[in-house]
Amino acid sequence: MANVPLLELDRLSKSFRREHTESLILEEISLKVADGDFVAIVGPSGVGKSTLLRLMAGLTQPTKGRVLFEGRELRGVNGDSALVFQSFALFPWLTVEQNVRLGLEARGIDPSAAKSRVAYYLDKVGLDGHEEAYPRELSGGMKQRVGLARALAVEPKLLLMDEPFSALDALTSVSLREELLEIWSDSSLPVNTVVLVTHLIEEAVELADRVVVIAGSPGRVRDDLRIELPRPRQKNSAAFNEIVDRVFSLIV
Amino acid sequence: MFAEPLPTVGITEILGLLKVLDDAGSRADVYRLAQQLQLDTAALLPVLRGAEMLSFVHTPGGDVVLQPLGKQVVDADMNTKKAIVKEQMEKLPLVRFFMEFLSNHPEKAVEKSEILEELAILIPSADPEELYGTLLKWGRYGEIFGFSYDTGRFFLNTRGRRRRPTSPGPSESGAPSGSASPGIEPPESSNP
Repeated sequence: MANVPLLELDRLSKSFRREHTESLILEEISLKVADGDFVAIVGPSGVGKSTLLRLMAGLTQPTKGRVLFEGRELRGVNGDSALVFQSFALFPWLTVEQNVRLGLEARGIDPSAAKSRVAYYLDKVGLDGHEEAYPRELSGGMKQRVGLARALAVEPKLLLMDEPFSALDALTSVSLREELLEIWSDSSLPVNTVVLVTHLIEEAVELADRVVVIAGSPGRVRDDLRIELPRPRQKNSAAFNEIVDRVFSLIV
Repeated sequence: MFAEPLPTVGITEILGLLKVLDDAGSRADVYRLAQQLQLDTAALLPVLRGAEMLSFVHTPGGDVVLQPLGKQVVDADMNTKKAIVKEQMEKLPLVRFFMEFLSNHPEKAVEKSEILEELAILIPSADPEELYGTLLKWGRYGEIFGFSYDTGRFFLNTRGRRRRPTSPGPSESGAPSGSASPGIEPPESSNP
């Protein structure tokens, strides 16, 4: 099993029907994500990055090609993945604690186990003290921590993140990126594989081991770069800027 | 009692500022920093003020300088960050006032309106609603205060007594966050 990637996209294409015409969004995407990888997918907006993430989650099906998870073809929703959304997607009428617990109850975890698991993951994302708060009482950064805790609490093997920091102000997103890296490198947590979609090249180079560039219409894999910079990465360094420039040149 | 108002800013933004300063070599010109972050200087000021009140930065002239405690926060893991913020918050007169105020209530909780009244008396120059919002945000982060919308009451958080590990270093392995949060056990993993 050692050589089987956690996730594999095998010559995957996706088109949508609009009125009477088919429009091809993604074409012949092949990509392997190994267990433990942190992969960032970058590309201009509208290129199909979010669609690609939804294909990995099994929320939409490919028109051609296959999605393989641990070597098996994915048919239907990928129960070993969890998604974090740009818009947080919290239920406004539920408290922080209830928002995180909801996903566990849906998976049939018994209430007392769910309760202790929620407490554990709220602690992991720095949210203890906020259990009884409602989303409207929270800043964007705190809301996204709830989104992250909810995703982590189902203990997925693959964490999928769709522009998770794009709705946040500059300083808040700096903090949350740091925290995400802390969580990713925490060996006591079950999830250690992340695929993150972003339109921010600097964010991708700061966070990921690999940056996959999707560009064109329909979207294709333009390049797949391994980022060898040591962590924590110095955003002001020449080596960092060089990689950012290189990715940028692949997109424009 | 002399109490300074808390600036209208969240702790997450303050932590972000510390990280940005650390990346910039511990010192930055405020005007340039605002430009770099694409923020108005006016929008950056409450963040600086908050970071300074917690003794994480100094602001000599037009500069902002990361202090040793601020650097410690940058390098700390999440739970240690929270513990340091809590310690620093507990030194602020306004926070101490409300800790004592709530301690003296048998239920360690009062109606939100009582807090607003106290704030209006303590700091007449500030908007009490705004100040209340920050007190609650900071208080929740530091696990000092909380508010239940369902009961309408602002309360003293007596559940967690978060303490900073005595020696800075890697957190203990095997028992994640165990010493920082008594009562929270790692759940059994559903992945065999």
